[in-house]
Amino acid sequence: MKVVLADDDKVVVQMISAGLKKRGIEIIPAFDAMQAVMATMKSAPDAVIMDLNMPGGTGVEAVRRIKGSTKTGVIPIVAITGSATEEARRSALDLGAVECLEKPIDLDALAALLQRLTGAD
Amino acid sequence: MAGDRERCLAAGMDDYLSKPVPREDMEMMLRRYAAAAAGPAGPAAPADVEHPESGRIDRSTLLRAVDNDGSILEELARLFEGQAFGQIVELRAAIEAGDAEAVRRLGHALKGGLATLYAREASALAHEVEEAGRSGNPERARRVLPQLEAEVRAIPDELFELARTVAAEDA
Repeated sequence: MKVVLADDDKVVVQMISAGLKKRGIEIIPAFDAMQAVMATMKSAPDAVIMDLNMPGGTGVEAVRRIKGSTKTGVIPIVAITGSATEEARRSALDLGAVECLEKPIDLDALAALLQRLTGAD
Repeated sequence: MAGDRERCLAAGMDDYLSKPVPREDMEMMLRRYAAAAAGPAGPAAPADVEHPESGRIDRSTLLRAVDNDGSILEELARLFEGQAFGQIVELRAAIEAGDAEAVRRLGHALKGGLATLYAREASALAHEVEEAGRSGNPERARRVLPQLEAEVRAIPDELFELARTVAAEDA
């Protein structure tokens, strides 16, 4: 399985990347919204993990772009955020994300969710 | 390099920065020591790494998350040091400027990294900063800043130390 992981926080990217790699998931890291959209277009990942709180609300914009393209619209997106308030969660789901997880991310739960979303074993 | 840091501290130096030194890291460090020298109202003294059970980081949860891999801990320590020290400097400036939106943004940014490292108390402090900014009252963040800064400053060393502990157990 191949997943684009977008967060401007390098600590978060390193932690989630290392954890998912150990669980057999290939990670394509992106550190801003533009990189996230480009990586998703280019590498056709099985799923995208997107921080919604990147500067200027650009994570939200990236989700819109990915969901708005016929090429990438079907790729499941898992939103991550520092504070998953009910409002943040709802807006993430409204945008087309399948789930909104709060940091710190439980890596076992995230890996299981990704497996389920992509129908992998 | 972690080894250089240890040698410097062992030789009696108070702190360590590796070249090339980011201007904001140097500035933050100098400010901190200047404040500490000014009196008891200043930020806490440098972290005492001789107390492994500091309660600063939820070690067992973190170790489980990184699968007891010391090299990941070292990388996390470097990345955290590289971004959080600068965020603290920016936060101080935002508070001085009374910029509520910047205070909110920086509090939120710090919280994401701190929560990810299972630094629960520091994460709660960053949350207070975020809320101070959100409520349009950046001045409230000023009260939290010294403690948050001391926590942030101490975390990389604690991660390096934890990485060494794990490596020693593996050996």
